[in-house]
Amino acid sequence: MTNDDPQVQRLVSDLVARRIDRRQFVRLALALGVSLPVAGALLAACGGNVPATTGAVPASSGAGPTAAGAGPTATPAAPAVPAKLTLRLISDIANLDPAFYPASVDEAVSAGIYEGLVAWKPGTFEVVNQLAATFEPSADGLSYEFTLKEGIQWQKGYGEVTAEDVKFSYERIAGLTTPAIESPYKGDWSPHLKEVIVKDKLSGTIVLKEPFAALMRSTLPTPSGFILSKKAVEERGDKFATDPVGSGPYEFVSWTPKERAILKRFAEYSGAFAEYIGSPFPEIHFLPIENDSAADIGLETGEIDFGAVSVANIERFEGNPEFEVKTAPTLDYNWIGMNQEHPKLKDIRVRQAIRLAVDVPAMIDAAFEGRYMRANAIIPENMGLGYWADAPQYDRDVAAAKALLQEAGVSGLELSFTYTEETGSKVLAQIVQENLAEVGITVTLNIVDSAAFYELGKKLRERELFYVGFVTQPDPSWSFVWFTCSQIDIWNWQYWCGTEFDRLHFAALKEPDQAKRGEMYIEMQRLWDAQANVVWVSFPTNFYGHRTGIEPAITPHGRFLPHAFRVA
Amino acid sequence: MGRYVVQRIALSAIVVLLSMAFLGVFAHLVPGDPVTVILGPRASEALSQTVRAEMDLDKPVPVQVWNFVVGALQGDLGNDFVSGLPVTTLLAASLPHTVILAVASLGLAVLLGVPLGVYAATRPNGWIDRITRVISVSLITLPAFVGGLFLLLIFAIGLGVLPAIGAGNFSDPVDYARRLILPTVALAATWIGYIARLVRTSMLEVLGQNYIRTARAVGLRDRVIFYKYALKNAIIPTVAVLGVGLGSLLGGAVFVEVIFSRPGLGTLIVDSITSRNFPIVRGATLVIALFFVLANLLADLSYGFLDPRIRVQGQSA
Repeated sequence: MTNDDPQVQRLVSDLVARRIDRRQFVRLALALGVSLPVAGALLAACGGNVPATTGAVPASSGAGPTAAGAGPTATPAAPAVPAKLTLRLISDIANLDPAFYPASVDEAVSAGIYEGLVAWKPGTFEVVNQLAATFEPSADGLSYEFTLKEGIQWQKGYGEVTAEDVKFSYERIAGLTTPAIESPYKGDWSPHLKEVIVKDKLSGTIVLKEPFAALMRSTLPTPSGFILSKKAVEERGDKFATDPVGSGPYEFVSWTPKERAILKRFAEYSGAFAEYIGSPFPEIHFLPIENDSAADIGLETGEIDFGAVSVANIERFEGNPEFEVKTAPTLDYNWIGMNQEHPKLKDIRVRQAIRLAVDVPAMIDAAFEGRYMRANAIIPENMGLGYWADAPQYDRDVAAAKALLQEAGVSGLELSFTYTEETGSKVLAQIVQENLAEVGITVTLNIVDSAAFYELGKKLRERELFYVGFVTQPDPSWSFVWFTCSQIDIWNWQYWCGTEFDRLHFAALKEPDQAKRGEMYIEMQRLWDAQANVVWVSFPTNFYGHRTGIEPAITPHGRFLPHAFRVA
Repeated sequence: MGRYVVQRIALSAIVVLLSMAFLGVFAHLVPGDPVTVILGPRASEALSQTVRAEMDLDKPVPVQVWNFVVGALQGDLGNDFVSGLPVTTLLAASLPHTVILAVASLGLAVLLGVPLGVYAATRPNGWIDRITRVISVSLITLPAFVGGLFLLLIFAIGLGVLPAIGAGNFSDPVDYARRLILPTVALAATWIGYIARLVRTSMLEVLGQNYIRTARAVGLRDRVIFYKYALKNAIIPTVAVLGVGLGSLLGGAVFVEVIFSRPGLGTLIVDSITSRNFPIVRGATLVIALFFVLANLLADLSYGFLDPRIRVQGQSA
């Protein structure tokens, strides 16, 4: 079957004349024996912007531009805006209060509702003013003067955004208001924040007790930096969590648990950040779909416009001209940890042997279809700070591993490997088991559910080898903090307490010079590497599938910003 | 009959109370710290203690059980730890979807399974009976999630005639009904086969009895014999199974709810177990237990109406 075949030509004519839609075109073309790439090329040659008129694609699904008169000879028109944008969330939202949000899905929904004094310019870690007209740090880094833009309105009639709201928002999350709240995100502000001084209706000063280098990276541009309406929080109490009020471009409409959350455009939006966002969608619907297969099917049938797709189905979407797949590296990190205080792992030569015995590329290939980036240390390059470019890469060397074990006088070693049911972890565990068997270490696999896996306390001391992944914020301090001495029996499962490591961590938090901070974090990674108590595996990547015609906005750490999506 | 009804209701009440007591205890039987799961790594010890106190986890187990039972009897099932919403609100949002799905599935199963069973029984070992048996066994062995995936691939992706995900909204009943079709068929498939087998076996047994032979002897038509006289007795075991079936479908709809991404009790429970959100797990499980008990009670009571002998036994007991 060639492109010149009369049947194919008829199909092309039908498509151009809009007698069939793109979905039908692709299906019929494939049925005629046309390969998928050729069908895609034909579709593109037809302009690619033939309207999705029928079938399972709802008119409001955002399934591509719907310009009238589209076709080879038509004048290009501005793309039509679907009535709603429908997005997949990997789990349901639960709390939209920035002081208590439990997961990244709540953050994604909140991002369109709230604004901060400053924010990241979409797609970058460049911090730009959002609600602030001016925002100036003092030379000593102990205070930040701000002036709000005039006339910014709260949603749902709560009046104008004022400096009093700024004071309330930041002091609340830091636990300085009365009554004080206990926010899990208190650490983003406390113990650094002393107070926020209100100078007049629109201006004030953030006063710190000590310099706080992460303030502009992982506090102010994140949900911990969102400004809330003091009046709305006080009036709504606990209900604020599920009926929030912000000043952003979208306001909260409704949430039906396990079903759907809906935002609509805020009619009185000030446009404080319109320069960077300007999403045209009248409504954004969020559907919690936990099962990857269901989400992939929903995307394929047009019931959702955008969402994370499973690694196994990426190729299928990439080969379909109706979809695009965005690769979004995160700052998160996965590793195999060794409890160096455990008697079996106290000898560093045993840990070094394990590090040399495992085949990390094979794990990435088998567990993540080879799509995750290999990690050689904790900080990825896209963090933009503290990346250790020269970190040693430990390739598999069975002979060297055996020699180290022999030198340590260890034989017949039996270890347990604990992991939880995360994507790819089972396959990864099996590879570890096989790899270590080759050097004479017998590994017992111990899979536990996530709640039991993350049960903290002294019981963790019994763990020997484990596989785990952490998520983080765009500042190295949030990656390192879990491995300091104070985290022993909490999140520091390697049970290594490095005095110099700790000193550098706390010093870097106060160091205003970002270049110097970067050097300090690299030094911390060197110190850690010398302990040989981890095998770095990968920096996970998010893969987002979306229908052509939508231009998603994704942060450099792999999160999506629905309110900044556009029509292509 | 009145005594029989009272006995059954009293027994049901005891079952419900025991369920509540068990659900109160079970939080302590499952490994994993709910506070860590809910709060994540950034929680301070002070916050963990606060949440632990809010969850009653700092109290002795008997006190927790007592609090849960007393609260449940007053209609207070506690609050979701994360969102702060009352569990009853979450249940009210999820329950209708699951009940509708379960009832629709059971209805479809009865609608197809009973005639299939009767038809097979009227021609035992004939070719229709053999085909029916093969179909029945095939449907029984087809897990709902496998059937669901096939239905999705054929009707949602392949033909594009039915939606794939979500339950829709009650304000748009037509759309809601369209979204109900595939999950209903997926969930009903096993039960169609099961009911057909059950009805066939019961019918064959009843058709061999003297009163049926008498009916045939006096020249009654087959249709009247099968549906008016034989089925009424043959259906009793099926009714008992349907009672259990409704409760089982409520709890077992989870796979279908996950595949079709429908809200419902099943997904609510599974998500809550993962996050150790015990008030939701307890509340949702209690609702399913109540439905189980209610459905079984109704089934028990219906025997009396279907078979007067049971009424008589109940009175003499």
